[in-house]
Amino acid sequence: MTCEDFNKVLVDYVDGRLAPPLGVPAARTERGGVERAAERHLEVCDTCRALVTDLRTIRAAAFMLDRHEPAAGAWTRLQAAVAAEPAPKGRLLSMPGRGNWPVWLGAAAALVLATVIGLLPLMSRESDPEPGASAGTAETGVSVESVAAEFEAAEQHYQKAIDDLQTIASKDTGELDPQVASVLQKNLTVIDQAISESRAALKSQPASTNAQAGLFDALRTKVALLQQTVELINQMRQGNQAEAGRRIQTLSQ
Amino acid sequence: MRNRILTPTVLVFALLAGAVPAGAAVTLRGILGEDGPRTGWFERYQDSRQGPETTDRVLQTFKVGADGALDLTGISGDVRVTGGAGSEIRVEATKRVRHRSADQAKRLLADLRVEMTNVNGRVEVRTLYPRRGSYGERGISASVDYVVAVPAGASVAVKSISGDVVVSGVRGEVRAETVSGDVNVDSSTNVAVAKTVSGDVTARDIGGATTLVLGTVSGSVIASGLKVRALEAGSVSGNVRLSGMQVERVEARSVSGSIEFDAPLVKAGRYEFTTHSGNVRVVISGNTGFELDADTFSGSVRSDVPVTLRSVGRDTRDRRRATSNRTIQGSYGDASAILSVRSHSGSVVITKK
Repeated sequence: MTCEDFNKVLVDYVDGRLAPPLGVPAARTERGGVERAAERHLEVCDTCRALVTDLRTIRAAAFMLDRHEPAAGAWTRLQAAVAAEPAPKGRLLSMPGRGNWPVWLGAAAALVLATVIGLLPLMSRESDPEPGASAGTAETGVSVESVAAEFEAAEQHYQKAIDDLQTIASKDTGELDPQVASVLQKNLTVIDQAISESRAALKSQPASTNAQAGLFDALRTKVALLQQTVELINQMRQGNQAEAGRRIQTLSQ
Repeated sequence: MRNRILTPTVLVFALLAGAVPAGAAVTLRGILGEDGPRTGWFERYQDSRQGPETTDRVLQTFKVGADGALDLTGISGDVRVTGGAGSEIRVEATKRVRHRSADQAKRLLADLRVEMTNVNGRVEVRTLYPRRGSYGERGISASVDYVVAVPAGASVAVKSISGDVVVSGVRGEVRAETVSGDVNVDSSTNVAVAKTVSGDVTARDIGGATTLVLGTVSGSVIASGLKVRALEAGSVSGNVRLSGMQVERVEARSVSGSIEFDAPLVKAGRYEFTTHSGNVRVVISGNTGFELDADTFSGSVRSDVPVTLRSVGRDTRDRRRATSNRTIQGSYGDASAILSVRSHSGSVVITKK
């Protein structure tokens, strides 16, 4: 499977719609075969893997968006802002049109625009096509300055995603069992420490690949943990298990 | 599991109860030994605070064939699933409640429901708690422990919120997740996911058809005897210990924990170990050579394996880095596997068994 093929099944993959029903061996279903092929591709393609991580983050956040309706003028301002920006070249926007895009993806438009577009240039730069993939998928000839700018932009967009998720998570952590919320908070602090140390390292040695990679790892980990937090909150709400969470609190008292 | 987390009040109570005898086992019940005059102190404490425990057992058996499926959602309580012979899924649910009023306890026990359905060999088990407000006051507790026997070929999906999850001897796909509790999976040939938020994940003697994901936020990941194609193991603040396994692709991560890997590398395999402030120790066994890229920002890197250093990078600074005590880049043997190790402030050690 190439990156282009993967893009065709990306949304279904993120939605878990490629997985066969429980109890049905994957090998017996066409969807299971596609999922296996997709997973094999993800094992070798960092770019698509990062895209999946980001979309899962967005998806998780998007489930919460109905509770945070944008102001009436937001869409107009967003439209104007998008129109003012040159269209970024990237895979996500070159995906073929689909009639069955999930509701959450539509609802997440603002978050998509705010995070993924910013990451696209970097994703494209890091593109590592598989053998057989069309030669035109990878961009070359990027200057040092533009890489630095992209790096900074990517960091900002990670930060934006983090801020958005954090806003959602901090508003609704009441849904979680206090001890679980405390564990999550402690670990977010651990990650924040790593982010802070990586930033300091990068400041002292801007060319350090270790510091660069470390910073993005920490940011990605934070996004993943916040995503997990939002998912947990969502699960609690969906299953009306907040009550259960509160009851669990009593178990350890 | 339900008493695993000790609140300060309980700890004070425990400390007042007496010193821990030398060599006494630390148990889930608390910090006192199992034997002695204070045995059962926790139960007595709970009895006095929340009322005596009342239990009810629900037992149901479903005919599913050799490869049925179990989909169990628990809320609070431990879940143990064991694969074995036969073609039935047998679910034993033990409901436990505590309330100072015997009548209320009885009502609570009845309101705490376990729903089980079997549709074409797929058994769904759901735990349903009573509505809030029915038993408004604090200090009551309710949980359901499950002990489930499934045919070895069955698929198993368990999700819980608070409690340990144990799955053993299953050949179908296994997904085991909890939020607060440990997850233990062993002797199962097709495990996909074992995850928790607050707790340890232990995987022993298991296989996987695709990528095995072992993850926790606050706790350790311990895995041994794995035979899977790909493994993703991660913790935020805990350690990751991987040993005695045959895996083509390993990605192990932690933020503040350490990573240990002690297993042979597979030809054309890829092994990535990343931690921010923890140490990484890789113990290589077998004859597979590898391309090494080990790097730390402020810690140290040491290889006891004679790696042939290579010069990389575009300037002298990078070339120096290739041989510094913070970076080792080079190859060993046939260099058929890729070994990438990174820590920000921890030490990295590559050694041979």
